[in-house]
Formats: sequence, C-alpha cells, structure tokens
Amino acid sequence: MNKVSKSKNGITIFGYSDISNFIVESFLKSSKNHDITLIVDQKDKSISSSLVRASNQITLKKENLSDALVINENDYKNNLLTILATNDTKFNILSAALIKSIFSTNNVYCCINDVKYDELFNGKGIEIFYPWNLPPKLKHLWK
Amino acid sequence: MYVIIIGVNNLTQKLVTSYSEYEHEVTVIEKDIEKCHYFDQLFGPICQNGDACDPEIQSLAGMDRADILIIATKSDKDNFLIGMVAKSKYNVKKTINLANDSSYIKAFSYFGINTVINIESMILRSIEQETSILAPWEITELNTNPKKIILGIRIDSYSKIIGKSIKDIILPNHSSIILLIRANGITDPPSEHKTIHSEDELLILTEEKNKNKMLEYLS
Repeated sequence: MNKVSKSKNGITIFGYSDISNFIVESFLKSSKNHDITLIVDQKDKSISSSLVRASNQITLKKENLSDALVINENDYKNNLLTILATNDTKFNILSAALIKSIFSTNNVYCCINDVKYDELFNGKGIEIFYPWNLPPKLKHLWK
Repeated sequence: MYVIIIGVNNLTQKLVTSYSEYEHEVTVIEKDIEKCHYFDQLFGPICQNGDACDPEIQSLAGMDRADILIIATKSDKDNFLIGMVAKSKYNVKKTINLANDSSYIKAFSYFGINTVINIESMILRSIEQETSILAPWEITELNTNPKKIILGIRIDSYSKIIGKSIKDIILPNHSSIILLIRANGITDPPSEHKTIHSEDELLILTEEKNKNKMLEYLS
C-alpha cells in the first residue's frame, strides 16, 4: 500500500459513485490546482471512461476498503479535504469517524443517503452531506 | 434499570438471563423476525423487531429511557452507527460497544461510546497476564476526574522492588497498592512492613496518566 501524504492542496476522495465522479470532475474542470487522490474499492471493476481519462491528472488507487488499515496507514492530517463518498452510508460514517479520531483533521465530509442520520455528527467536526444537496462550502472549492 | 441489547445470539441469551434474575427490564432489538419469535418464547415479549440503526426502531424500543445500551453485532459499521444514533438522538447514558476490529477502537472512544470491548485485545491481555514478566492488565477504570484505573501487575524476578517493604516503595502521586496477591494465591493486605517477592501480583490504584511512570519504577 502506498502511503498517501498530502500537501495543503491535497484532496482525498473515497469511493466510486456518481457523487464521487461528479466531485472529481468538478475539481478537474476548475482552474484550481489540486492534488487529488481517489481511493476506490478493489471490487469496483467498471471505472468510468471519463475517470480513466482523468487518471493522468489524479492519483487513482484501488484498495480493500473494508480493511481499516487503508485509513490507518495514510496521512490525512494536512489534507485540504477528505471526502467519504462511497455508496455505502455506514462505511462513510465509520470511516469519517476514524479519520477524525486519528488525525483530528478539519474538513472531513461524509456523504450519506439517508436523512435519518443528518444530526449524527453535530458539533463533532464532520460535515454530513447528501448526494442531492452538496454543501456550498464544498462547491465553493471548485467554483 | 432499563437495558437494551442489540441482536439475538448466545451472548444476548446469557445477558437477558442474568439481567432478568435481578429484575431489570430488558429489550432486545433484532432484525430477523424468526429470532425474535424464538426469544419471545424463551423470555416473554422482550424483542423489538427491526434494524437498530434506524432511529425509529430505537424509539419504538424506548431508547430515550434506556440506562444501558449493549451493542455486539458482527458489523463494526452497524455497531458504531447504532451507538451514535442512541447517543445523538436519545442521549443514552451508557453504551457498551463491541469493536470487532481493534483499528476502530479509537473512533468509538473519540465519539463518546463509554465502553469499547475488543475481543482481540481481551485475548492478548489474557495471554499477557498468563505469560507476562511485567505486563500490567487493567482491571477497571473509575469514573473520577482525573481518570483513575486499577491495574494488576505481576512482579518478575528482575524487578528492583523485590525485597523492599511497601513503605519504601515510592509510587507516583495519588497511587497506592490496594492488594498484594502472593505467588501461592494468598491475598495479603498491603500494610507498611510487608515485603515484595518475585511472582507477587500487585493491584494498584493510580491515575491513568501515571501508568507508564509506575511501570518504569516497578520494572
């Protein structure tokens, strides 16, 4: 496993999903120069052609996302952004919590597909968002 | 006391039996309706059928008045989410949560899960306790501020406190030996003139922050 150590411009996005695709593409379209790493699960076989084309502009890594070591062995402390955007809401929640607890980093965004969990991290330094409603703070970064 | 337990399994069965003996009120939340029926037949109507990750199911089970929540499913994702929902929506006072993978212990603790149980750590601790030279094992932590713990420590033959009497052992501040267990199993109250021998076990009350200093001194 290659260690991801990020600059102040670093963005790590977990998961291959419509929303992660959208976020990656939005960053790539923006004129801002970000150091983007997309970590997808080993089981995700059909990576979209646009993402493959983008793979010379981003670091695309395939990992076993069910293994907590993927998170433990990388460094997100100085990341500009860490976004949990797989299709598995429960994975996103636990992994966001793990990243926050280990690295005390700000700017952890956690995508959930269920409004039942909107208050889960209130005041705990993790921003929850829905695929259908991206937070303005996030969108602002590529506009 | 009102106890909610997540999932029907052997552990739950033992817990329900034990809590019922002391006449505590228990509810078990279980996804599988067949398992619910089985438990209801054994213990009376104590099962709430549904997914415990769902705040509505937690509400139906009366999470808002639960004194203790015990979560021990095989999925850490579920265990964490159930605990977080119970804490954030229903202010459950005490949550005891299984972390199947020890990598997640930090996340559980950081987000206010009171007690995190990890089987791997418990097995390691048992092995250490059985084979240790000077491996302490934490017996319990007290609800004090600053946090105090009770440690068990087996004294090995190289320890520099062997042959010293208890009054000559200078432990860190706010620490004391509370029990001496001799190699033959006899317990000895730790009065000042008692001498420490190899293979003795000491139970020590100390502040958590002093744990390492203490071990350094006793080794």
